[in-house]
Amino acid sequence: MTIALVFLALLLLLFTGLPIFAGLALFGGVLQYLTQGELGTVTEIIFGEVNRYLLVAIPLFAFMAQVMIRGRIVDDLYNTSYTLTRHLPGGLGIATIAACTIFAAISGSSVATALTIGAVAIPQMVRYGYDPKAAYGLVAAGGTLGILIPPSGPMVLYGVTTDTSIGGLFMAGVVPGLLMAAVFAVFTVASTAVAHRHIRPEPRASLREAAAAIRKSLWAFSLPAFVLGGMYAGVFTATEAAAAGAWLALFIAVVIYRKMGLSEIWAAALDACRVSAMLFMILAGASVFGHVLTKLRIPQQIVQTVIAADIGVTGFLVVMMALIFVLGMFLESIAIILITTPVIVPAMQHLGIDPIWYGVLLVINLELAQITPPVGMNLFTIKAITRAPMGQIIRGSAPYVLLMILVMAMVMIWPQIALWLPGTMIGG
Amino acid sequence: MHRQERSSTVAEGPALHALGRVVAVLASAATALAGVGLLLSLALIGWAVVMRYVFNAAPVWVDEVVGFLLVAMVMLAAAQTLRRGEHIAVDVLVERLSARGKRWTRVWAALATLAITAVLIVNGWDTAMLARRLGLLTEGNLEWPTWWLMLLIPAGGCLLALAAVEALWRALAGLPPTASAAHAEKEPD
Repeated sequence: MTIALVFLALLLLLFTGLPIFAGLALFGGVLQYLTQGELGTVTEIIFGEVNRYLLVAIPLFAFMAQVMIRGRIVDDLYNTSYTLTRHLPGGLGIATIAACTIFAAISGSSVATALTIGAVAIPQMVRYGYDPKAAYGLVAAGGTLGILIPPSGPMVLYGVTTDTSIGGLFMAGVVPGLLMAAVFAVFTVASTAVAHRHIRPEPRASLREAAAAIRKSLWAFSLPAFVLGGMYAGVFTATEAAAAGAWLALFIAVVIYRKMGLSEIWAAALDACRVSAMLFMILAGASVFGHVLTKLRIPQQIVQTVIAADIGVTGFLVVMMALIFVLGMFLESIAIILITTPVIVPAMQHLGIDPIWYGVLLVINLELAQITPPVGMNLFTIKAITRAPMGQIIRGSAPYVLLMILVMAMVMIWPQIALWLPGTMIGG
Repeated sequence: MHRQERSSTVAEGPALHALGRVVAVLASAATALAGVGLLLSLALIGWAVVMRYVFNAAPVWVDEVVGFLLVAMVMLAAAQTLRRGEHIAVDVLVERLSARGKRWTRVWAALATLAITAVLIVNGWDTAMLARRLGLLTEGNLEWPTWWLMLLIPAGGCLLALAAVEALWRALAGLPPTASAAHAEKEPD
């Protein structure tokens, strides 16, 4: 009962429109003062929570993605994808998903993926006769792959919060991410066959044409291969991979493409700093909130509730995923990770749930949060690019909500979809 | 995601304009320092990787320094992030309010942020001074005095407080947030 009241009160406070970091810190601080009679050393807790080497991966990955975007390295990706898929029914749709998948392996952010690919893909799809609604839905959903396919900002935060290997989490996102992309592609082919019969596939690209297209995007492909390959082979830690990836991105943008000067590099650095400030201020607020919940022994109460309810692993996961789905309609994904994860870690340990498996399920659910109204960051992103009515974007995204739930259910039933690849990691 | 309000016809008074300029300069300078911190972290980690693989001599202190730099980055860039309206809020209900209601939610958000900054400044200062009195050193290889690193929290709190005062003043005066005002110097994202 106490747990429900605490979370309900927090949600009500957040709905008053104050910044999430301020809401979490205010709520946590007031609760701390009311229950402990003093604030204690809250700033020491905040300092300790942010001062972590592992978290440095987040600003560095954000910087790497900014360099790739500002250096116009990803511009060729879409054309390459289309050249390779244009002969298939729904070829342009498949090209959009392929570009989202590859960009997801560069960016680590759903919004950045939807924004970057959407700006190119949506006008193109509409020009070729696709229903705009279908194009909006496809990019909104394809963009969410940004946080499932590594690198992934939410996975870094989840890994730090639960003390789980970030490299392992990254690798665990690869197969479910590719599976999700494949499911989206099959749906696109099927829906094009039904609803877009008037769109004729283009002639297949000749071998020479295909080779030229691949050559053009080789540098864009090389970055995820370098970053993920380095982590898989145990050469880099996640933070080192982020730094090495950022250096490679700079090399490609400045030396190979010659499309980036010092002012652009500086702008990319400032952008990455502000994104990090936004994320880590939420982390700071959540650390105050989490500290007081621990003092109130709420995680232990959850464990006792789980034991008393005797719902087992599946029951626990279904309840958690349903709860996170509902929270995802209203809250931003970082806040969901930081509010829910610390309190359920003891319950997960009690039930023997692999934290990597739960992390992947959580991230798929957070992908859903990006496209479920009323608060879905990718819905807002598509709206910002196209200025289309929100109702149209939501209707276009609706089928993908069901497809994502399908993939989440598959990962829940067959954990090896997520756990196989990290199990084969060198030193993993 | 905040929807920007229509530009108000209410003019800025000279005092608010002066405060706005001061906060803009301080927040931009602090964000520039944060940018330097990011590039320094990039350089240090890159150098550490090279030292480990090429010279088999990994510097042990880099991990600690980039952790401190991360705290600096966050605390220094938080004020500019607030001025640009980039701190995420749940505005699904607020969006449905009248212009007057939205204005009062902005007042509330600024007051709540101010309350947090007061804690960051006072509690942060007290914690730093306590660490100084006790002579605490950082854990690890560097063993730097903790207190001056802890001062990053009240320093960032002061910057954020200035940005929150500006936001509060603008809301009370019926002016749009700095993120949508002409002088916010918003760069395209």
